[in-house]
Amino acid sequence: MKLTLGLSIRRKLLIASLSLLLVPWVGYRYIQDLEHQLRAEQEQQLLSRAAMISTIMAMHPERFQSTILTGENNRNTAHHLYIRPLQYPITVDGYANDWQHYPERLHTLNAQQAIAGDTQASAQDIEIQYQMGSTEESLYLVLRVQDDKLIYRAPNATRLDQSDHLRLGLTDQQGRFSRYWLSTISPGWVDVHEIGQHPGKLAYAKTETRIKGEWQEVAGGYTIELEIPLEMLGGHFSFAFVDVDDPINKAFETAIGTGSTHRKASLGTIVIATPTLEKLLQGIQKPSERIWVVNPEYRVVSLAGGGFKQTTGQSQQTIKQDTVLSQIMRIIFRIVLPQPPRYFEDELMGVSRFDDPAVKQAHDGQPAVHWRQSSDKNLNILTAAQPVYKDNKLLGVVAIEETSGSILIMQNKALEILISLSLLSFLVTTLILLSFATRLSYRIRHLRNEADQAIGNDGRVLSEITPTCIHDEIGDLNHSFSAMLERLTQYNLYLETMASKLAHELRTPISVVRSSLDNLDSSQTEEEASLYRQRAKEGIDRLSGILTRMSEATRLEQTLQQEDIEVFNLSSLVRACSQSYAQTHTLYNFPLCLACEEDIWLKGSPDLIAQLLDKLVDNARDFAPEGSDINIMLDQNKDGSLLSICNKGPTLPETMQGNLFDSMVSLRQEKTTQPHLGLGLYIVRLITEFHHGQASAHNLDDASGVRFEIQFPRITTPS
Amino acid sequence: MNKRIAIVEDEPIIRQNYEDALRKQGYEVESFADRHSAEQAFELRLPDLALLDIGLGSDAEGGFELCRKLRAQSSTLPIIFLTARDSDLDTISGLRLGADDYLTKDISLPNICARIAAFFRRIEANSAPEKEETIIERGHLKLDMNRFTITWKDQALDSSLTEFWIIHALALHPGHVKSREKLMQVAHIVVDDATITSHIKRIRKKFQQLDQSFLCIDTVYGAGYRWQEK
Repeated sequence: MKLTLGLSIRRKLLIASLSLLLVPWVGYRYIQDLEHQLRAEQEQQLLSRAAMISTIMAMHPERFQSTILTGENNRNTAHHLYIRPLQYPITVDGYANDWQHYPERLHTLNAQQAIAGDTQASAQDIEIQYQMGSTEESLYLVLRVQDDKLIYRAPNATRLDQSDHLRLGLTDQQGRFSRYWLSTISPGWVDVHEIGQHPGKLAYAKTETRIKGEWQEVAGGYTIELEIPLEMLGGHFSFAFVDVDDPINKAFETAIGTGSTHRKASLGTIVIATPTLEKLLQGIQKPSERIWVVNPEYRVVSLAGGGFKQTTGQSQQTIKQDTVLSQIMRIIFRIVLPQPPRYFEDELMGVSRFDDPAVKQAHDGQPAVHWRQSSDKNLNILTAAQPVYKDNKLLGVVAIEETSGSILIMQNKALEILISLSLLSFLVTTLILLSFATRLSYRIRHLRNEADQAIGNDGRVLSEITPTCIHDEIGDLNHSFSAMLERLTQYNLYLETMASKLAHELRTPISVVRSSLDNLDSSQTEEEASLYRQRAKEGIDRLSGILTRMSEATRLEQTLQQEDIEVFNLSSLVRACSQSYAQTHTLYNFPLCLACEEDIWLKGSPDLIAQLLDKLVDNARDFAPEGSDINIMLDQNKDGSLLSICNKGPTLPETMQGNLFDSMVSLRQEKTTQPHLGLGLYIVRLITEFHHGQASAHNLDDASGVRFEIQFPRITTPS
Repeated sequence: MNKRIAIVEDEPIIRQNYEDALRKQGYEVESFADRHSAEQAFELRLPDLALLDIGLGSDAEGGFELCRKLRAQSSTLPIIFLTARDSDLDTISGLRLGADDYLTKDISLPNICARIAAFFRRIEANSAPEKEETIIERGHLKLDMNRFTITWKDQALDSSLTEFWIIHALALHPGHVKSREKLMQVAHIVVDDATITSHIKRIRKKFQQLDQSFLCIDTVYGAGYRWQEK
């Protein structure tokens, strides 16, 4: 037999082990859940930090006061400028190359942001980019102007506003308003004119030397770089570039800037990062966060942590002590798992106004959190905002931003562990299952091969199946195969030795006949001759006796099919039989023991039961020493009735006690006058089974003999 | 003086039949039904020849025991097993215990008588060595037809009567094929072919114990055996 169709046990188990893949899925679901929890936890943590900072801020309202600018300006349109400190020195030379470190501060103003009151013509293709920064002494501003027509002030011009020029408006620390117009007749140092009551007239203008300016021409426009000392600056500042395109009329056409510079009321606000507040916040701030303090107009008054510091999962020094395997795993993780990005676009790096939805909600008095994606969708950023109150008056809002990078890292770590453990458990389980299946299929194949080889094509038992000591189903199968084969072997042996047994049994009567006939030949007298004839006849009788016995078993099987069933008194039958044995077999005693006083009834055939008793008594007589007792007992027990016959004599071998009846085995060694073909106990079994009983043979406890027991089932006694 | 023969046999009819037949041949016959009575009688006086059954009633190995004891008492006493058992195992154990012959019960009375006569002739020949000798020589093989003894390269070969007759039948006409039936006939036995085969095997083994290079008994497949001189 070969397994050609279907799957082997090994493959089936392997496929079944695929269900283990559920483990990583469940784990992934768990980690997703974990992410939610972590996010919630982060929100809570950030909110409470924001609350703490807001409390600190509320305790120092003067710090707010000093920076909060509540001018009468138009709160919605006027620009607010939050000036972040510069890390690198700036040379005021009209070239923008030293501003390239601050790309995030680059703001663009185009024709749409034209200042309404100052613009006379429709906006042209003019565009301004500006960057600002501060040192402890000065405010720096660079402007890059895209202009198609460059108009310089004529050397003899009397007005300042008939060429491209820049206007500044500011209040100083005492709140005094002043205006400055910058125009030049050629690239290079630019003159700064303070404008008094008559704007535009050069004659009325006063040159301001504290403000340094450089004006350079670049392809398609100008670059203007300014340095304004901080001592000149209060809380308000606006600039506007006025583009004049008509050199003849010298009338200005477009003004683009952060606000109108004509009146104090229309100026935008400016906040220079002050070291005191910033230092306070920086002490609180964690590397992965950014703390914003905004006033009720969402204008940034203070900021700590300009850019996020990215916490990457693995630090470099751990890598070198890794094994090859874990490095491979790491590469796999890099591919499979989303890594926290090292860089992401932070669009808030340079803003001066912070109106995140969370901040808006906090502005309304409600602490809030808000998740947003960075503009390049690389990262999620959490904002937690808390309002700052002082005497029930809203001072502003404190907001903390934090990236989800740490969550991603934690999540990735959990995923890494999950993947590693899942892979490991998958491998281990698969290996265990595989080896188990291999062992199992090996055992089954081994058993199959043994079973195949045990019985030859002609049905003869060739070899035995070695019983295993493993007690499982296959072990059981093995045992039952082994037992089956053993019975088959014995039966086969019986059949095989049948001929020689027969020859052995037949030889004696043949010898009787032959020797009698030989003597008959040589007999002289008739008297002698008749003696030998008589002897020969005896031999023939014996031969026919053997044949009778041989056919008895076969006949019995036929008889059983036709036997009529009746309910009869077993007790009286046993009594009658035992009396007749006592008369016929005088060499033995037959003590009868009917333990139950009532009669025991049995459903079946009394003739067959008598035959069964005959066989058992014959068997007992064959083994019992002459003159000994053969006990016949009949008793009632919970299962029905029990008939037993005990005789003294040789005991049964331990191994044979169970299957004495199973096959037609004969344990006889000695030679007796009766032929023995091992059929006696087989007949007992047939009759017992016919009565739905069970036959068994045991050695007596003191090993002095053997007891045969026939258990008959209980029947309802007839009234 | 008549030869005394002891028969130990538990089956009364067979015992009586043998007794009758042997008495007619002029032997003095004592018969016993079991080992005990036989042993008692043998202690008083040994017979000239013993005819033993192996299974004696419930005493399954009684014949073997008796044989062992008799052989201990006399090394020359001819012992013949006459039994219903015909397995090779029984035959070999019987012969190993020192029996001179092993016969199955279906042998005819005249055949038994012929064997018994041969045994007595052998004994007589041994006790009277000066008588004229009938010796057949075939190469290294010498057969003494009176003493029923065989020598190979001047070494004595211990053989039963059946074996002697078989060797004699084969060696008498070297090269002639003897069928198994023929060998049965000369050995006064009625057995199946396989028994003859095992007799031949035993004979070859006995020769080979004396001479490793013995190859004189040749099997002719489908016909029988022949003696082959080198």
